[in-house]
Amino acid sequence: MELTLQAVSKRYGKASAVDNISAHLYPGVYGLLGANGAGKTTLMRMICGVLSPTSGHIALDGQPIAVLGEKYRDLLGYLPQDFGYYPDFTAREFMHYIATLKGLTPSAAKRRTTELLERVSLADASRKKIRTFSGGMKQRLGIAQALLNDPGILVLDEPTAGLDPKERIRFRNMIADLAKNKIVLLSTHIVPDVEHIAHQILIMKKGRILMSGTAQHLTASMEGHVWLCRLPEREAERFSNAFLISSLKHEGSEVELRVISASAAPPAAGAVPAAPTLEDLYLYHFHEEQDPLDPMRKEEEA
Amino acid sequence: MNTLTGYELRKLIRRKSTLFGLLGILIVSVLSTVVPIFSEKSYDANGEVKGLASIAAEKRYAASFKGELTPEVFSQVVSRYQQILSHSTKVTDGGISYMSNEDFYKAYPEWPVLGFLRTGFSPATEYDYFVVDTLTPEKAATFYEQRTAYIESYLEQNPEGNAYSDVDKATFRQMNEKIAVPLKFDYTKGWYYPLVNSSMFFLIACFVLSICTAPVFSGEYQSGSDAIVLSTRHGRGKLIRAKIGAAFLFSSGMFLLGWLVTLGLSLSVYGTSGWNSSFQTLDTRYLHSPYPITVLGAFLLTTLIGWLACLAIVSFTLLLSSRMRTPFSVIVWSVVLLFAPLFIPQGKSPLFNQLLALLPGRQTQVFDTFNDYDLLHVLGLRLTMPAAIGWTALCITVLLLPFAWRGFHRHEVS
Repeated sequence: MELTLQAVSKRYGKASAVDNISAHLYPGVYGLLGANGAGKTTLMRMICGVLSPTSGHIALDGQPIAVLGEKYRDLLGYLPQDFGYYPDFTAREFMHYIATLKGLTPSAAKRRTTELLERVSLADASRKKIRTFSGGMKQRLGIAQALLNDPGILVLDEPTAGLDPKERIRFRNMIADLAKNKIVLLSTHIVPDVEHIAHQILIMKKGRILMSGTAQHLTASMEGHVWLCRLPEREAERFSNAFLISSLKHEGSEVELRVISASAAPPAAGAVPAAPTLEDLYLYHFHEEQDPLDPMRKEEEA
Repeated sequence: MNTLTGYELRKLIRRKSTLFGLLGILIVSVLSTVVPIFSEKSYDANGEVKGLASIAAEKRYAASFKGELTPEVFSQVVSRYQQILSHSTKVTDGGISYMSNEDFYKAYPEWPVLGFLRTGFSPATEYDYFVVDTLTPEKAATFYEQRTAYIESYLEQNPEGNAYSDVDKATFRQMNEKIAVPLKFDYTKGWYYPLVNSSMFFLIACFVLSICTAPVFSGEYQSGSDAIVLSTRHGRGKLIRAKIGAAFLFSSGMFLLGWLVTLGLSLSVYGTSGWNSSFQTLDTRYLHSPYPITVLGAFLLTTLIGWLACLAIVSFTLLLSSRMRTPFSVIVWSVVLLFAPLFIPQGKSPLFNQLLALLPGRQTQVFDTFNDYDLLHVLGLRLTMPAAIGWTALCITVLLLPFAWRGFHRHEVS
C-alpha cells in the first residue's frame, strides 16, 4: 500500500495553507509535527478526501483517491481535530451509527463497538449520553470510532489533545500495536507523542514540509547546538533574552539552562554539550512562531 | 426503513426543536377546534343557545334535512318559512322590517336549507338575505336551474376580472355537470372546521417543519461532525439518501399527527356525519363550487396538497441546509421564503394572482381555491388551481432534492 502526495497545495485566496507538498507514505507510523497554522489539519483533510486540493493530487497505489471514492473511504479511519458529536446519542449508539456509515454489518458493528469501547476504557460509560462526557472521554470515543472499520489508513489529527498523561501513554501503546500493515498519520504539537511511536516524522512549517526522517535522523542535525550551562540567577535572566532556552531549572542560587544555539561555539564558559532531542529541534524551528495565546494575554495585560 | 434512516430519524426526533414544534402544532390543532365551540350559536324555541348545546341543536335541525336536497325540499321549506313570516309580528329597525324574535326562533330549524336558497337566488356577487321572503315555492323548486344560471351569469360577467375563453367555460360546465344533483346534505361541521382552518394549520406545519429539518445537513457542518461522516464509506451516498428519507418521513409523521389530532378533535366535538355529503353543502359559501367531490373527497384532496406543500418547504429547507453553515441561517431563509409571498398583495392580472397562489406559503391556502373558477394554462394544459398547487409543490419537492444531494455530496470541510 502506497499513499502518494504529488505537489499538493491548498490556497485560500492568496494565502497558502499547504504549499506544494509531495510525499510517499507506506505502512508505518508518521508523525506530523508543526505549530498551529502550519497546515497539518488542512493536509490531513485533503488526505481524507473531505477537502479538495487546489492543485496536485493524492493517490493510493497509483489511483487518485477522488476516483476510488467509496473504496478509498472504506480504508480510512479519521479522527478530526475538534470534531462534533451527537450529544443525545449514547457512546454505543454513536459507535453503531458510525459503524453503519462505514458499512459494517450489524453484528460486526456490535462486536467492534464492544471491543473498542473496552479498549479506550469507555465500556462502563457506553450507555451514557455523550453530552455527559468529559473532553478526554470524547477524545477517546473519537479514537474508537476511527478504528471501527480496522482501517488501512488511519489519520489522527491531534489525537492526544485533552487526554491525561496516563491516557496518552495508553494511546501511544495502542497506536504502536495497531500500526502493523497500516499507514498511520498523526499530527500533534506535543513532541513526545510522536517521538516515541512515529517511524517517520514530518515537520511542517508554513504549509511546507521543512524536514522529514526518523527522530534520530532529525535530532542528528542539531548535534553541537544544544548546551547545558549553570549560571548565577541574575546572569541567567540576561542569558535567557540572548539565547533560545529549551529548559530552565533553579538549583539554589544558580540556574541550570538548556541552551539551543545557532552557532557551534559554546554559549558560555563552562557550557557542556548535550544530546539533542526532538523537542530541541521543534523549538529551534518554531521559536519564532507566534503563540496563539499571545494576543489574548496581551489583551488581558492591557 | 434501513438502519441509517433510523438513526437520522432519531437525530431529528431527539432535538428540542421537535418537541417545541410538535407542541406548537398541537396547540394550533386544539385552538382551531376548541375556540369555535365558544362562538357556536343557535336558537331554539326559548331563544339563543350557545356552545355544546348549540351544536346539538344545529345537528338536530340538519338531521331533518339529511339526505338529498330535492326540489320538493326547497319548495316545502319556503312554504313553511313564508307561513311563519306571514303570521309574524314585524319589527322595524333602520327602515328594514324583520320578523319578531319568537317567529325567528320558530323559523330557525329551516335555516340550513334557507341559507342555500338565499345564496342560490341572490344575484351574482351579491347576497340578498330577504330573497326568500318573496320566493314562491314553485320558484324555490327550480333551485338547481337557478344554480346553473348563476354560474352561467358568473362566467359571462367575469366579475373577478377573469376573461374566460369558451374552452374554459366548457371546462367549468363539464365540471358542474359531474356534480350529482340533488345535492346530498348532512351536518358537516366536524369536517368544516379542519378544512376552513387548514391554511393556518398548513402554514404553521411548514414553519415548524422548516425549523426542525434545518439542521439535517447544516447541523453536521456546525457541530463539526461533517469531517467524520464525509470520510466514511457511505458518507457521500447512502447517508444523503437516509437523511433526505428521514427528513420526509419525519415531516410526514409530524404533519399527519397534527392534522389527525385536528380532525380527531373536531370529529369528536362535532361528530363524523357529513363525510359523504356533496362538497357544495359544506357551507353556503361553497354552493357554487365547480368541484364534483364529496366533503371527504375535499378533505382528502386538501390533506394531500397541504402535505405536498409542506414537503416542498422541507425540500427547500434541505437544499439550504446542504449549502449553509448553520441551521439558524437556514431557518431565516426558509421563513422568508415561506412568509414573504403572504405579504405580496394580489394584483389585477388573473395570471399574476394564479402564479402568486403557487408560491410557498400561499400553497397552504389551497382549500380556498376549491371555491374558485380558476384555470391555470400551462403547456397547453388547463389545470384547476388545487391541481396546479399540488403539481407545483410536487415539482418543487422533486426538483430541489438533487441540488440538496449535491450540496452535501460536494461539501468540503473547512
